[in-house]
Amino acid sequence: MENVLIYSANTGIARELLSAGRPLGEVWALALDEASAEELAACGVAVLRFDGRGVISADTAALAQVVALAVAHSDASLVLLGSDRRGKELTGRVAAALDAGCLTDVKSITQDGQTLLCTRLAFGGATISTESITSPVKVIAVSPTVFPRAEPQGQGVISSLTGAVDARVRLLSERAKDSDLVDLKSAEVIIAVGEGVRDEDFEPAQKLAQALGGVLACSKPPATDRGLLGEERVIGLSGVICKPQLALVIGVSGQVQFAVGIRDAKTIITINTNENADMVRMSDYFLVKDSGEAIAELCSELC
Amino acid sequence: MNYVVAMKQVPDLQQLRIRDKKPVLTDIPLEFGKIDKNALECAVSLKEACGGEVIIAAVGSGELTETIKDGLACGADRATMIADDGVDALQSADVAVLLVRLIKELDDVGLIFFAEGSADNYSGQVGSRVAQLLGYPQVGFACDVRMEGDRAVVTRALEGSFEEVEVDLPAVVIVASDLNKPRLPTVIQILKAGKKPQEVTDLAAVGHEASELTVCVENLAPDTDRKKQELAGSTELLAVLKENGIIDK
Ligand SMILES: Cc1cc2nc3c(=O)[nH]c(=O)nc-3n(C[C@H](O)[C@H](O)[C@H](O)COP(=O)(O)OP(=O)(O)OC[C@H]3O[C@@H](n4cnc5c(N)ncnc54)[C@H](O)[C@@H]3O)c2cc1C
Repeated sequence: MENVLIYSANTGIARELLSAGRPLGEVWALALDEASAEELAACGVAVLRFDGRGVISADTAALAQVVALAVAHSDASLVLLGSDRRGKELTGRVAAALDAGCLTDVKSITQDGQTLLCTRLAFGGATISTESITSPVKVIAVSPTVFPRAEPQGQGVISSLTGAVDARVRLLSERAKDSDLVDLKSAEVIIAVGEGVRDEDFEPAQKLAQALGGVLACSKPPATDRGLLGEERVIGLSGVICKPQLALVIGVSGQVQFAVGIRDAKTIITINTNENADMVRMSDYFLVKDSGEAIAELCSELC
Repeated sequence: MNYVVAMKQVPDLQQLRIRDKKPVLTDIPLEFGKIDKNALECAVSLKEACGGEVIIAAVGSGELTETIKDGLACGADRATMIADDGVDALQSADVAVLLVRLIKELDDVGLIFFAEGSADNYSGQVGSRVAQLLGYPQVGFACDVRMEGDRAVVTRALEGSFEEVEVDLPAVVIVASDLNKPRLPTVIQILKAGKKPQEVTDLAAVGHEASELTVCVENLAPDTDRKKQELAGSTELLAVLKENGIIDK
C-alpha cells in the first residue's frame, strides 16, 4: 500500500480528499493551522501540522514548498489536492517540484490493478478523457463534491512539521464576493438564461423560476460580461455542473463549455430563435421563439 | 522591464465535431485561446502605462508562425517560439520546460503572464510549472494587476472572495478569464504584425526529450442523444412542464 498525502486550504474539501484517499493507501493530511489540524484529526487521519510562521495560502510558491516537505516526511507517492481555484493553482507547482505528472479537475478515480484511472473533461467538455499518471510520484487535483466528506471518527495523531520556506507574496486585503448562496448543484428545476435574453427580461425570468419552484441560472456572459447575475449562477465548465430533473434553457447557444454543465439533466427544454442552435440538438423539447415573448407568456400563465 | 505572455494555439472548439464518439480535429483552424488574449491584453495595457516590451513566448505546431501574427497585431512587440509539428504530441510538463528555455533567453523579464487554462485542455498547470521551474513567485486567477515600483499588486478572484496581494518581481501571473476586453486590431496593426521580429526554433534545435508523465487511455464524447421534439408554443411547453410534475395546473 502506498502513502497518500492530502491537502486543501478548505477543510471541507480536505475531508472529501480523505474519502478519496482512504481506498488508495495510508492517508496523511497536511494542515497549516490548528483548527484545520484538529478537524482533520477528528476524522481519524494522521495530521502533519506545519508550524512555520508566515506561510499563507495566498503564496502558492511557499505552499508548494510546504507540500513537498510533507511529501518527503510522509513518504507519499500520491498527492491529492482540491481542484478549487487555490488547489488547481497549487497542483502544477507541486507537480513540477516533485518531477511528477499531474491531472486537474478530476471527476473520478478508479483502481485498475496498479494503475489509477482518472477521468476529466477535455475539449471544453465535449469529451470525457480517461488518463493515468506514470511518474513515481503522482499529483491529482480532485473536483469539489465528487467525494463525500469524511465524517468524524476516531482520533488521528497530530505531529508537527517544520522547515524553512521563503515567502515572497504578501496579503494586502481580502473582501468577500457579493453572492446570494444559490445551490445549483442540488436544484431540481433550473431556468438557465443566456445572451439571447435581454436585460429587461431577467426579472421576469427570475419570477418564472420562482413560480416553477426552481433556481435561475445563466451561461457565462450574462454574469461575467453583463454583470446581471452572480458568478455562482454560471452553469458549465468554469461554473457549476448540474443535474436537475428539469432544465429550461432560454437564449443559450449550447457551446460545449456550457453544455457540459447541463447535459446530465433528466429533461431539457430549450427556447431559442435559432432552430439549428447546438442547444436544440441536445434537448428533449424545443420551442422556436423570442425569449422575451416566451418568458412573458409563461409568466402570464404561472406568475 | 519587459512582459512575457505565454500563448497556446488551440483548435476552434466551435468547429469541433464528434464522429463515433471521437473528437475530429482535422481541418479545424488553430487560433489563440480567448483567455490567452485576456493575458496579452493585460500585459499590453501595463506596457502602455509603464513602458517596456511585450514578448509572446509560444510552443506550438509548424503553423504557429501564422497564428502568432494575431498576437503581434494585438499589441505584442515581438515573439519567441518553438514551431514544430512534433509539439502536438507533447504534454503540459514538456511545454513548461520548453517555455522556460525560451523565457531564460530574454532580458529584464518582470512579469510572465499565462491564462487560467487553455481552451482545449483547461488543465491550468503550465503557468504554475513554469513558475516553479524558474523559482519565481506566482499569483493565479488574477482579475486585476498593477505595478507599484519594483513590485506588482495583484487581485486574485477566488470562489467566494477577492484577495489583494503584493508580489516581488520577477513573478508569474496567471489571469482569470474575462478580466478585460481584448482589443481588436486595426487593419494597419494587422499589416504591421507580419513585420515584427519573430525568433523561431524547432524541437531538433533545442534537443528536448518528451517526458510522458501521463497517458490518455481514451477520450470519448458522452451519449447526449435526446428526442428533440419541437413544441408549437407556450401552451404545449406548459403541458410538458405538467407531464414532468413541475406544475400541477
Ligand atoms: C475555458 C473556457 C471556459 C468557459 N466556461 C464556460 C462556462 O462554464 N459556462 C458558459 O456558459 N460558458 C463558458 N465559456 C464561454 C462559452 O464558450 C460561450 O461563450 C458561452 O457559453 C456563450 O453563452 P450564450 O450561449 O449565452 O451566448 P451565445 O453563444 O451568444 O448564444 C446566444 C443564443 O441566444 C439565441 N438568441 C439570440 N436572440 C434571441 C432571442 N431574442 N430569443 C431567443 N433566443 C435568442 C441565439 O440563437 C444563440 O443561440 C467558457 C469559455 C472558455 C474558453
